[in-house]
Amino acid sequence: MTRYLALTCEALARSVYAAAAATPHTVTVRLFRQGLHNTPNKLRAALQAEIDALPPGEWDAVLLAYGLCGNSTAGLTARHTPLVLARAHDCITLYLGSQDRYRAEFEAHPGTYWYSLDYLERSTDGANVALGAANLGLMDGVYEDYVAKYGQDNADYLMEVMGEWGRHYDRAVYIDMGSGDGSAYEQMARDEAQRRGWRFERKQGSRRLIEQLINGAWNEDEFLVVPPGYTIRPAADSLIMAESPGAGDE
Amino acid sequence: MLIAEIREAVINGQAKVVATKVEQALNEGVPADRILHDALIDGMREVGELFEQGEFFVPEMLIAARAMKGALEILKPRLVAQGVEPLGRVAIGTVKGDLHDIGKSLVAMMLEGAGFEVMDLGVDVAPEKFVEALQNGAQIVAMSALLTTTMSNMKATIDAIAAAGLRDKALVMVGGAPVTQAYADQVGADGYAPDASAAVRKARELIAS
Repeated sequence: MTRYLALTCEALARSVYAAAAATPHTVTVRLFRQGLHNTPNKLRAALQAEIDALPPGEWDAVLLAYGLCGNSTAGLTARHTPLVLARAHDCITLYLGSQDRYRAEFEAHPGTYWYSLDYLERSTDGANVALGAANLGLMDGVYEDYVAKYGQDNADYLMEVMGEWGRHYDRAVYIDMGSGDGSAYEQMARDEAQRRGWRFERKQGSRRLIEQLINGAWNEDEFLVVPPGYTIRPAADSLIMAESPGAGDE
Repeated sequence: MLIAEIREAVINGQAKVVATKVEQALNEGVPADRILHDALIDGMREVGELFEQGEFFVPEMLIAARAMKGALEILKPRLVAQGVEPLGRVAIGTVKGDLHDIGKSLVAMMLEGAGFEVMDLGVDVAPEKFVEALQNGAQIVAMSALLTTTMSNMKATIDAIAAAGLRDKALVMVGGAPVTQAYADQVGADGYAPDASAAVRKARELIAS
């Protein structure tokens, strides 16, 4: 009997639960707050604390339902149990089901805001509704604060500079992962796209990578298996990440 | 003392006060290069220090840089007439595929505030654009990335610079949220800086080397 512990970002909850229910293995799922990637040091610390607290011998592997996520998972060290994660920059790859599909989307439309049911239904911050490695949080409410601190002229300037990114975005995509009823959230994404003058698209996601992760089908091109005593490192090549001996120093 | 007042107004991000007082100083016969060095550059140096001490954050840096830039526009024709040379020439941009520009723009302004001439190539900058900037006189190439997805284009750019036969004379700096010293070493950059203030220090160091 193979037992896995899946440390999972909330943004992937439904897909991980679905894969865990269907797999022949025994999988325990633990969720971590989404949005922690905005502070990679905190997310890394939370995951490492969980890994460090696991009793030896209980699990065959610790699965990380994460990508590199702004280097949040870089620096994580496997103790007695191997760590496994998909070679992905962020959850968009895991939603789309393959690196190739992610790369094609990213290269064709770098200015895309992504939306999903999981992310929206678990969002506690109503203003910050989109996905990805970059925290682009919307600036509502900040303006008054700037006027008070720096005067209106400077406040206008700061809003212009901080809002600059929005002008480079031109597309909103709602990814349907095929679980639950996301129609209300899809509508929310449509409304947001219209408000900002972005093109809206709806795309069918794929659980392929998440299922492979949960099923233990870890081909080397798509998954990194980190043996005990090794640490995850970011890589400058298409493998995205690598393992190196020793503990993390980040 | 007008110079001290301009310097103070730069630090406080008072763009209009700075512009008015710079005009006044010029009318009173204060040399442009003196205003540049003692008020603008020295003021921005203090802004960098305040940032490193945790007194200043990004908004304070942005408004100070804006005030400095306004003054620089006024001084530019006079500096050119005086034959004042920049500290060095930097081509800066966010790498191909990456559309994020706040950090890059802040570094660009801080470099200008330190006396560098800056060519801001913008966002989503293809490797060949950086190469072109080097051919047009840039000594330093400064690349930014916010996403690990686009970080690999730093390597692609360095490779393109090498392919153009310019690697030996180009100084390459990298930065951005996911970039680390280890990554900079991995892609063969000459320098890495974790923030805008450190980027200025690194650029000074590289140009002096």
